Formats: sequence, C-alpha cells, structure tokens
Amino acid sequence: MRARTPLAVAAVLAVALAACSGGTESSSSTSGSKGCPLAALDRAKQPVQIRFWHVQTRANLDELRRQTDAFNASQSKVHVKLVDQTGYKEALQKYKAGLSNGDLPDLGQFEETAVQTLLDSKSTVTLQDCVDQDHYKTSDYIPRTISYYTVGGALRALPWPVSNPILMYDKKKFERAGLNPDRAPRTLDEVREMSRKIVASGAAKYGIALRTQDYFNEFLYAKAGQQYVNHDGGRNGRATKAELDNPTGKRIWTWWKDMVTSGLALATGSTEGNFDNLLSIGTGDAAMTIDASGALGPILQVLNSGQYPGVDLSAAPLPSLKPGGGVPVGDGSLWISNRVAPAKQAAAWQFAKFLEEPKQQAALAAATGYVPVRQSAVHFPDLQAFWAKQPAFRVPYDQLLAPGGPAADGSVIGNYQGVRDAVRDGLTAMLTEGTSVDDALAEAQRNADAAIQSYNDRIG
Amino acid sequence: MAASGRPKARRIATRALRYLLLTVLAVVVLFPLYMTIVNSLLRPSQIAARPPTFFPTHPVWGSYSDAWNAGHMGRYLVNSAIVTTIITVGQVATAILAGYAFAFLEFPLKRTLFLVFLATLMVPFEITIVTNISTINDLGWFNSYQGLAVPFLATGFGAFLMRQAFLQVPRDLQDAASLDGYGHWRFMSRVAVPLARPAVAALSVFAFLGAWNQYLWPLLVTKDEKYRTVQIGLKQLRATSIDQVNVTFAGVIIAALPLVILLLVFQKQLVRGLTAGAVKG
Repeated sequence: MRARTPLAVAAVLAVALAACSGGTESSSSTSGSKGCPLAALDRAKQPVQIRFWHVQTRANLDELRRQTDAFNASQSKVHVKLVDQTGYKEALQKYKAGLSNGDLPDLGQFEETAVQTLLDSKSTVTLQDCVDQDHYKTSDYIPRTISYYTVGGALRALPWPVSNPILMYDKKKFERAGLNPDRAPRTLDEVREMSRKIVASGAAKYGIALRTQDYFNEFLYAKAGQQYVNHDGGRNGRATKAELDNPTGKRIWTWWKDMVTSGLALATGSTEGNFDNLLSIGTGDAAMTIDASGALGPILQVLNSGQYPGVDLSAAPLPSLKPGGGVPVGDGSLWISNRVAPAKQAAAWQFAKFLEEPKQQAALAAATGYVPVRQSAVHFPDLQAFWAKQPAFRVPYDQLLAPGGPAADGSVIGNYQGVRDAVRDGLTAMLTEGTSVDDALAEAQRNADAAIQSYNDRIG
Repeated sequence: MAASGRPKARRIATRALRYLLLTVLAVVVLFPLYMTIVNSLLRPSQIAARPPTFFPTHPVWGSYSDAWNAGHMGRYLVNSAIVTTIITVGQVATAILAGYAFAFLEFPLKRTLFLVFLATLMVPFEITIVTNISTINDLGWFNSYQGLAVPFLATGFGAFLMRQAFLQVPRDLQDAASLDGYGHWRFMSRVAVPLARPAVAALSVFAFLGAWNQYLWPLLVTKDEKYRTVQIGLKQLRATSIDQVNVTFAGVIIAALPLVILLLVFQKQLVRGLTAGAVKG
C-alpha cells in the first residue's frame, strides 16, 4: 500500500500538469478572472450554491456542520454544501484531478503544505484581492497565521483550522521524580536533563516518548531559527534546495539520536495515526511526549476515563534548541477556486469570512481544541470558560502568538511531502537502523533536494 | 488408501496432529478478525488499555450505528454492491469470450494480440489513471455508475486465466462436439465453460474482491455521497483520533460483512466448482 502511494501521487500530478497546459481555455470559458469578483454575488438573482471540500471528522465535523447550518440560516444569498474529502492528501489529489475534469470545489480546505502546489496550479483566487476590495481587516489575526499564507507579498489563503505541536507531560510523574510539576522543560537540553531524573527516580521507564514525525522536526528547526529550505523558506523566490544538513540541524538530529540511544526517549515509530506515544504517558512508560495540539482532546478523554488513575496531563510550548523562538502555523487553510463562476467565488469568500469571525473561531476552539486565529476570540465567554477548565488548550494559542524570527513563518515548498518523506526516512534510519547522525542527515538532505528538484523540473 | 495397513492408533495420532496444526493456523488467521470485532464493542479507553481486553463484558453497540451514520454506510453499501456486481459479471463474461478466442480460434496476429493482452498486466493501475479520468470525463460519465464500473469490465489477467483453463480442455472434445453439430457458441457454453468452472470461480472471487476494495478510483471519479463506495466511507471514519477507534473498527466490520456473507452463501458452489473441476480435469 505504502509503496504504491508515490506512484499514485505522480500520476495525479501528471493530470494536474496536463491540466495546467490545457487549463487556460477551460478557465476562460468559466471565468478566467483575475482579482476578486465581489460584485458578482450582488448581481446573482437566485441563491448561490457553493460546495466546500473539507476534511473535518467527528467532533470537528459536528462543529463545522453547526456553523454551516447557522450560516445558511443567517442569510439567503449563499447556500453551502459540505463535501467530505476524507483527508488532506485525498483532497489535494482530487483537486489536481479536478483541474482536468472540472470537478473543483468553490471553497477548499487544504493542508499547510499545499501552498506551493496550489499556487503552481494557478487555479486559486489571490485572496489579497478580496481583502483589498472588501476592506477586510486582518489586524486581529494572530500575525503568523496571515504571514504563513502570504507569498510574494499577497495573501493566498485564510488559515482554517489551525493547530501546532506542543509538549504534553504528566505532572504526577514530575513530582515523583522530584521535579517542579509546573516547570516544563523549555529547551531540548532541559528535556534531556529532566528525562535523566525521571528515569533515575523510576517515575517512568523513559523520560519522553518520541514519535518519528517529520513535521515535529520542521517545528524544531523553525523554533531554532533555522529555515527548512533556501530562498528564505521559499518565500523569496522558489525554493531549490533544502537546508537540513547544517550545524543547527546537526544539533537537533544529535539530540534525537542521543535521547533514543541513551534510553531516555522511547521511539514509537512513524506510522500515521499511531498514538503509542500518547498512551505511554498513561501506561507509565514515559512522562512526556510531543504531539499535535489536536491530539489533546482525545488523549485527555482517554486519560480521564478512569483507565489510568494517577495521571495529571499538562501541556507546555514545544521545547526548542535554544530558549525562545516561534512556531509556524500547522493544519489547514481555505482556498477559493478561480475556475468556478464569479458569483460562486464571491459566495465562497462570504462563507470563508464567516468561518473566520471571532465568534465562530471561539466556538470552534472551545468545541475542538483548535487554535482560534483571531485574537479577539479569546474574549468570548465560552472559550474563556473552556480554557479556565482546561488550561492545556491555551498553550498552542500562546505559542503561536509568541514572537519568532523569519524561520517561524514556515516554508513554501513545491514537493513538501517529498521533503517530509526524506526527513522521516532519515530519522527512521538514524533511530532504528543505527545510521550515524552525519550519514542520516546527508541522506535526508540529498533526498529532499532531489524531491524539490524533480518537482521544479516538472513545473518548469 | 494404503493407510488401512497401518495400526489404528497411529492413524488417529496423525489425524489429531493434523487437526492441531489446522487449529493453530485457523487461530492465527482468525485472531485479528476476532480482535477487530472485540475492539468494535469496547470503549476507546478499554482499547487503549494495557494489557488488552480480549472479551467485551459490556459491549457498546452504539459504535455500529455511529459508523453506519458517519460513514454513510447505507448509501455506500448499495453503491458498492451495484458497482461490484457489474464489474464481476462484466469481467467474467469478457474473460470467457477472450480466453475462448485465444484458446480455440485461429486468427491473424493471434500471438501478437495475446502478448498485448499480457502486456497490460505489466502496467500498474496508477499509470492509466490519468488517461482513464480524461476518457470517463469526455464520455460524460464523471460521477456515475458507468464511470465507476466500465474501466474494469475487461482485464488482461482474466483473459489470460481463462485461456490457460481452456487450453486444458482436450481437443478431442471439440472435434466430437463439432461432429455433433455444435458451433463455437454451443461448445463454449455447454462444454468448455463447465469444464473450466474452477477458473471461472476463482476469477469471480478475484474480480469481486478487487472491485469491492477499490478506493482511489471511486474517490477520484465521484463528486459527492451519491456515488461513493464503501471503502471511502471507511476512510471517512479514519482513526486518527484515539477517542473514536471503536467506531472505525465497527466500520471495518460493516464493510467486510457483505464479503463474509457472500462467501458463506456461495461456499458450496465455490468448493463444488473447484473440486468437480479438479476431478474431471
């Protein structure tokens, strides 16, 4: 199954490329528009139906349905229909196929890694045009959620929904190890020191459980101020090379390797949807772990179910190589297709704006644990009550608001997934096959460069 | 057989050993299935517990209704059944006709054509996705049962399998049949296909499984819930969230159940077809 995926992706990419060349004619027939056709909605005689491709599931989907129903009921010009595309990878695959067969959403939710690919498809509305024309204010947003989706000085997509990786730890195990339970490690060195104490005291078998997750590594680089690719993370010209193999990278990878080989960290593999790292806190195998803030809700639910008495889960910002630094935006973003009728583009903009309203963002955050992208959202009572009860959920918000250098804006990479695969394979080789830090990092660098290169060659 | 000469005790011991081995293998094969059922009836926190729970003392049946609703299983199962039936019938029919032609008929470029058929086996499905999508799209079959089924109505594998089976049919039978005034059509339906029943059964099962388990193609050529199939529903229950894994397990059982039922219903025919062919051939 796994081995087939790259082929499938390559095939669908070929569809997309074929569509790029033949796309001009089809776009001129539908709209071929430049800019943001806001007025088209006013001219529409009947309610405009739009389709929103999303990948939300379960509790997240319930909240999206609730908000969509509220939007549909609140006005009569636009009617939104939700279409579940089952996952970020599937949604992007289907979008690429849609470029040739016309099955495109009016509004689409895509992963933060899809930016360059979507820009290269030239099939999306530059949202900066909508912002300018609609006099839409972005000053209330967490600045980094806007800067992440700003490429070439123009906003391309709106952040929705947002999460990022954080440190989760068990206060009780900290206490048993003689550590201050309210003082989580801030740096990677502190993680190592505290892990040593935790293991020595017998509070847990390992200090920390580490999932070999490629994007955690990205966030560690960003927080250390190290860009992941050249040309300022691909924001000042197209990225042509990865920046993995450098002194900062070496220190981060050495930390990964040392933690695991010295028995301080439990490596729980790279399988997607694997949550052994989270469970290890419950079972007593580890006192800390790193995972996406989105995992907080589910793991708290499991830990509080009574199955694991004596665990008091808390959260802290992602530890970094050196104190300070900021993290990029993770998760999804909203894109409007320019291949659909102008009235639908305008309608999609109205719905996107609705989802981004502080009220909706506060409700989303309180219901699901996503980061509210609007700073004024924190004043809403339901979110305040939720955070007061579960302070851990505030951590990813504060962490995203904390200042960081240019690296914290994150990267724009054509074949982002290819770079992630290279990193994951490198980390896996280093942690499980005994490859040295230097060799693993050099190999990851080579493979990431090749992935970027081959994508750029195809795009031309 | 010759075993009658052996002492009885030894025969029993051999048989006991054989059954023991079969039981062990059966347990190995069935255990994951059993745990899927068990996990679908547990609360998520019980699934996460170590050591694992092996029996649901308080089964939670709600996971099945959750999976049914969240995965749109009602609609998707019907779609899967329709598409799978069309594909299976179509594949078997085209394979029999093509296989018969390659086995019994003489025509120009026969070898070359057969090689072309074989060559399609070497092309991974992912390579043809691109052209298939444009073709389906040009035909206006996007988001329809035709779009889901037609690309899979004929396969090089099926033609190859049936040709090999037909080659086992003795030529004398064909001569005898033609003396009796049988044309190709009657010879094929009355003699060749009944003799090749094991191959037909194998091909049917293979085609059915392949069609039922399709994921990427149905996802790419469908637009919304109306034509989506059960594997997409399963993906919609994705287990990235630890507090919902029981629902995903329930969805897996729901998606697999039709296959199991079908196997139980047709088991007799399947086994009879296989053994009958084996004895006659």
